[in-house]
Amino acid sequence: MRTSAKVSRRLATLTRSAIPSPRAGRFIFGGGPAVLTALLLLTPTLFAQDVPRPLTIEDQFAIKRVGSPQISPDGEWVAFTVSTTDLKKERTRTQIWMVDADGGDPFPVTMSSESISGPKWSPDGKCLSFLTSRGENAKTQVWVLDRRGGEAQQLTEIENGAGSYEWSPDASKLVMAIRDRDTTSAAGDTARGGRSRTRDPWVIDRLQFKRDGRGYLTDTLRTHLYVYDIASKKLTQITSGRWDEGSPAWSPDGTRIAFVSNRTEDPDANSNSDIWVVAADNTDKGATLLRITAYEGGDGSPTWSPDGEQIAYTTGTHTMEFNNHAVRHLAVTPSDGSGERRILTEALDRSVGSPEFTPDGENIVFSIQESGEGHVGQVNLASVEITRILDGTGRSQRDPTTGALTGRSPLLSPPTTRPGSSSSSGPAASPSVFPR
Amino acid sequence: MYTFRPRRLREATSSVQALLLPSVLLFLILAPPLTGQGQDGPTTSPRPLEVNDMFQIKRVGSPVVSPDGEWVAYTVSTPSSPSKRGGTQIWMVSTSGEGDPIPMTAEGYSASNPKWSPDGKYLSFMATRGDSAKAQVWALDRRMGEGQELTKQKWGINGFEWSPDGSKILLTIRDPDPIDTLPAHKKPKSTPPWEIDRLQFKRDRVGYITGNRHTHLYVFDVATKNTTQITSGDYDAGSPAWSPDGTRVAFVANRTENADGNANSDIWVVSADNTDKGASLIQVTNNQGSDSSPAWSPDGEWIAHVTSREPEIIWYDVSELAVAKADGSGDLRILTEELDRNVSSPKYSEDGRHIFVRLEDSAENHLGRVRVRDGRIDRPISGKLSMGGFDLGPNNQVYASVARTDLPGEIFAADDGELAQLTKVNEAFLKRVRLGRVFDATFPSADGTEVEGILYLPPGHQEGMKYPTILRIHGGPVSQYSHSFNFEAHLFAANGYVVVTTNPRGSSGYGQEFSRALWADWGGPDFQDVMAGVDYAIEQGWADPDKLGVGGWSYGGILTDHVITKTDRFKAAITGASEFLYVSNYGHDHYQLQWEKELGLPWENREAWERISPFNDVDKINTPTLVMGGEKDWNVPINNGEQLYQALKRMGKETQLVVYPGQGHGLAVPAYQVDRLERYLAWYDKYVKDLREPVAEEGR
Repeated sequence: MRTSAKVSRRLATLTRSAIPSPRAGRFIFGGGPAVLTALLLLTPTLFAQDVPRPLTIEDQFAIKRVGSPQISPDGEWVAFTVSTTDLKKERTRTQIWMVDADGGDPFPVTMSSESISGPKWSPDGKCLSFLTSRGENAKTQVWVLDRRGGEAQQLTEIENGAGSYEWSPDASKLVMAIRDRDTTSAAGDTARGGRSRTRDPWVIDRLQFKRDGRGYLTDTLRTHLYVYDIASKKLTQITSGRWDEGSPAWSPDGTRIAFVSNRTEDPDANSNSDIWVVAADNTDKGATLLRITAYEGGDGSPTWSPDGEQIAYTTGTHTMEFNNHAVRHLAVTPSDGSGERRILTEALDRSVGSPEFTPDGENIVFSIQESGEGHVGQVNLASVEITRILDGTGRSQRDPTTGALTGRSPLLSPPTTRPGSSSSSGPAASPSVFPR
Repeated sequence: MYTFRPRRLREATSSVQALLLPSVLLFLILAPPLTGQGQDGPTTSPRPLEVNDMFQIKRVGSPVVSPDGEWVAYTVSTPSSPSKRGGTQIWMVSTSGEGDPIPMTAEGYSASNPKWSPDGKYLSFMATRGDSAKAQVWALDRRMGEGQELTKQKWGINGFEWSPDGSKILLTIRDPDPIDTLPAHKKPKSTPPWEIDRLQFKRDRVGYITGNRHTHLYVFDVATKNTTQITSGDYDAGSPAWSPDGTRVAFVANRTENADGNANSDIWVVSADNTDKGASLIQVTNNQGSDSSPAWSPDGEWIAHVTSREPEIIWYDVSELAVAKADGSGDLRILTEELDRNVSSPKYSEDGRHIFVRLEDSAENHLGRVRVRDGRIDRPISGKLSMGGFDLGPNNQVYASVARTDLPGEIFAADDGELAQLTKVNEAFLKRVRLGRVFDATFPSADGTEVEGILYLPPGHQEGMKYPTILRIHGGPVSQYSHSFNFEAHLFAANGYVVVTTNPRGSSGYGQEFSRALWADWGGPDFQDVMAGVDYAIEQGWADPDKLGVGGWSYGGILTDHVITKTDRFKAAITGASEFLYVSNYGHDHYQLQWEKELGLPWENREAWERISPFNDVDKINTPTLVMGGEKDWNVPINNGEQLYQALKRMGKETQLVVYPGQGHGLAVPAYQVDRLERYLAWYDKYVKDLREPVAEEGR
């Protein structure tokens, strides 16, 4: 471990020298180097061997996967997930680790036998939250670790279980996407004549009626947004209808929530998801909505400007017949729906994702798919000039087997996870590039 | 040549029957299992049939006569209902018909395959009971007492036969799954991947077929309890039969180089006391098609069997009765050359002069008696009925399960053409319900071919009133609607529908040419034939031509798909487990061998595959269509139903898809059987009776 720590520190230094030093730029930059440090640290076994040997099949399970890097609001710490696989037990477990943003030895902060997902810092920096199910037959809930110390405590008590969530800016509420409960599925399997209740047949009336990994899609199960008030433990449904919603984002003042939903007559027949805005404290299940995008293809990944005036998001420019091959662009549009979109990456001709405004609101940072690499770029809203923050040697890591980019580093989700239709935007979909 | 008997309209005093053809050759027509338990309440006025009545009807089978001819043992199966698990019990009844039937096995487990020991001292059966949890042979001492386990085979048995002197039992045992042979700590946690090298690599309800597991024959010595393996090798041995002197065993095996690529099973003979696992075999038949069901002549010289001589026409071939010299000299005679009807289950008469067979004929199933000398056939059991299993007692007394359209199968004694009913397992239930009238009819198809149908009228049907009418189509395509108890048809009738069931081209029971007319032309002549049945019901003044529905399962679904691409006469269709785009099934369903014979290889003869695919005319469908199937059906996989649904939905047509979790080609879960019938009624009520929601209660 000493060796690996030394090696990693050296590598961290190397990494840091390749990009702007933290706190040295115009704004605080904490994400890149720390994330990379973590990435490199988590492969100590490769360095610890005395005599290097050729790779074996089992080695793939010796490689740990890191992901979901989350920077604490004060910029001092990075929390991230580490997934390990035990081949003998045939199970993979994901836990949260933490590392000083300036480097040092990472350490685990969750110790559960159950996997966790979706680590997030509360905006006030007082706690680190995550999703897990602990206890017999427990539903997934949000749990929190107090920054001052102590074991995780359960934060939410949601009957159907919690879904992917986002803290409100004042840390008093969570918005989360929850799928309707499948009341037809039996606890056990489809036992033939067994004791457990038989699962009801699938009765299908939808055009898009199946999906890999999910099975048949019946007409009745939808994913909607809910606001959970932490003090009162009250859950309020803020969207409804025969559509799915996902990718919720709080406005900086906490009064509104932007989200993605395809609300065309038959969402199964097109990929026309749009960005919508709803009042965060509505009690009529989102009867009044504001649509702020009009593109006939998919719009996604909404994020608010610090002043709440604009929403940046990903969109397309192609006509629908090329939809599957369309390059994803970055655009901004007024959050009150009063104006046209402004596409910022027209000339880039590369797909982008995961946009986030810089704290001063003058730039937007985003991921770029670039020639087999994953870069981080930023665009200046005034000049529309694009620069690369991370590229070349500092590029993100790619999973050698699946080709997926690890850790949801700021890069695109697979194209199949259409926002609004799949609710699978999963926990920690947006990386934390900047402390807020 | 047995000629087709022209038929006028006549009221059937009896009913229909269940198909017992080898399931591999057929798309299974899984009629809901028939059962019945239930207390016999006080007699009230009969009511119409209800969906849940399907669990009231018990099924009898496997009649076996005791060596002294005094008793017939038989099975009674009670279907599992959503609230109660069913099972099969063995009963026996006096052949004289005196006294009540006696339950021989207890409730709480299933017993099957009843067989008397040759000395009559034991009634044995197969059951899975107690800790061993594998099927074994059990025996009831006829003097008194409960069943005792006779065999303790580690991997259980698939079947058994007593040797003629009762000292040995022939066991059929399948090689264990290699994983089951591993000690507990070495068993993998997860199911290992299926590693597949075979041509025929999957089978509905079986799953992927991997490795080299086979079924072989073993001789169990009752006294010493020793078990000796008497066949071995890279093939399956089945249907074993002891020679009368107990020295030899005949069995069926396909021992060709690539058994997955043909249906060429033959009859073989092996010595019963061999100790080299059957290294020396005598080949009794060498026909290119399938030879099966061996039965020894009393003198041990001949082996009667069922033969299919034209394997190139697969399931359209009529199976014949043959006798072959048991010594392998090749002497062989076909006894039913002129009959042109399927025969099965041959049994020699005591004197060896006749062979009794089950005989499938024109919506009926008879007992045929074939004179060995000249092939002359008479029929001890015939008429508008359907005979299932049968057994021969001393003096060729016949005991058989027989069903009619108004009577689920019961055990009957046949004596000089007279049938005497010995059991009444469903009598109490039948007294409580009112069934409609059933008619047998023939009518000309578009090209003049005579087609037979069985039509059901609603109970209380009034002359001169036209009723909503449903055309139901049987599976197969090579099978037949017969005079047995068709619960589904009676249920529709009870709900105010006229029900038209027909035996269109492709059906068995009408000779080889009638069946073969469907060759590579599915949805062709049979479409004309089923429509002729509908027109007949309209001409009779029974059917309202503006209120027609159509439907079926398996081939019944396939032909339904053709029907709705060819006509808009139907207001509703229900298609279950139907092939729709054949090429998408190649390598996905379990019919690789049959498709290749009938259609050729899809990459060489694509046109034949496309020609019979209703998918290519899907845009012509305007009929509101309910699409159904089992999630894990590898016989007619659900992907076909999904494609039909997807296309109809995409075009904005009225449709719905219902998929039953975990189910294969038949629905095993009682709650699903109820659900299916309720959806049938709701869909037809909505679109045929035009009862848009709420669905009204009419005529129930």
